[in-house]
Amino acid sequence: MRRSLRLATVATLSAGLVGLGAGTAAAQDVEVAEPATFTSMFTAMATPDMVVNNDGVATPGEAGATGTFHYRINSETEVICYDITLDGVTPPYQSPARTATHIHEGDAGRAGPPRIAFPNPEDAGDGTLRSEGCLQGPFTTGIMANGSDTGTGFTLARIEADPASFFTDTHTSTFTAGAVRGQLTEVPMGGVETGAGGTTGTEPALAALAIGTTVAAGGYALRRRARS
Amino acid sequence: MRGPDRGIRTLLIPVAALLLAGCAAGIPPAVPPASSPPTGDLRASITDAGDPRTEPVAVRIPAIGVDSPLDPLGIAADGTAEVPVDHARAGWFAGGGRSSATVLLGHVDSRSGPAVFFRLREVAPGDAVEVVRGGTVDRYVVERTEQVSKDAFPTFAVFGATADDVVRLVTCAGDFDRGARSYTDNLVVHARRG
Repeated sequence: MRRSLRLATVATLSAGLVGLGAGTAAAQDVEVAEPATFTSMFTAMATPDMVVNNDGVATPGEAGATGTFHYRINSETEVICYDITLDGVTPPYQSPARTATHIHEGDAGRAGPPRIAFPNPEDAGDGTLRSEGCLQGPFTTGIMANGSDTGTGFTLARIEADPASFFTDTHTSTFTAGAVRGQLTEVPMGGVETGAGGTTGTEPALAALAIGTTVAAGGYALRRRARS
Repeated sequence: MRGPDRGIRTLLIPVAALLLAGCAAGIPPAVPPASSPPTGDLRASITDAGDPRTEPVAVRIPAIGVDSPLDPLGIAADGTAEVPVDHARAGWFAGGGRSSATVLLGHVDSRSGPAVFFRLREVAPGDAVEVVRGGTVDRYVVERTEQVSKDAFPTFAVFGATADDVVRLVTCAGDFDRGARSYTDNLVVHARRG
């Protein structure tokens, strides 16, 4: 409860700073600065062959188009940072939602409601369409189902709990079911721990063994030490 | 199991449990793989038509004598990348979904000496990287090498989805922090389909 109250307060204050919207809920979907830390990261390879319509029937999107969707999440503060690149997608965008670029909840091969609506990618000047920034929830999509917005009650922790049950896509006037679509997959965060220091001369107890291995390796360790 | 990706994650759970022991303690000494140039038969099978999404089973980098089988890797409980439990073998990130990138991870050293990617720093643009998938060998060409701080690791430049058929090889570099028992940097080699 405390956390929800804090989030609502932050969102309300932020919305107040950027001005009031035109008759929409002003405390939602706030563009925010990038947070210092994230709790998870996801990527999606979006292609036209993954698109299905609302009935779950395969409905290929724009031939030859691709999309890379990179997401960084801080589920403690309900912030999602997005970096979206579309290649070969032809606007105009079209969707009954507030924007036409979304994260939906749905397994591969199935339809599902949008949970987050992102600003549509725009011409990046290099032949691609780009959209990047950070949004803070609570999220709305502009799509109503059973009397409430499909973003109502959604939290980013649900993506972290089961990323494969979410997909991301973008819709255009020619490909209303989706020009490209891809399921989310989690990626590792931070550096990769691929070393234990045995060639740095910092492991005295193992020095003799290290020397033996170094000789066997053709002196490469000695070369490395010289470089550093 | 809700879809293909869930299947991968489920399969990786036992692997993750093994790898959480870390990349240093209790690991048998690594011996750099012997330089073994591809056989004539394998060279004959090199093809430009291999499916980049077929699971890779081995990697060869002839210029630095690497010839290693590949173990599947996932994401550790702390959110970082799992790394090979055997310092003499490289691994591939199996959670990439439908991305066309093949991400290969290997240790630069163990506690006792050089490991499988010890000489990765020596590769140069133009060097060949061969990835064995099933009965085919996909050939890639090194484009560039970069050394990056682990504190500013370019997650999506390495693990992010792409439509391009590329290989990204990662090991450790920089100074070794004895307290943290960790190198400060990562070395990333980018290779494209040749």
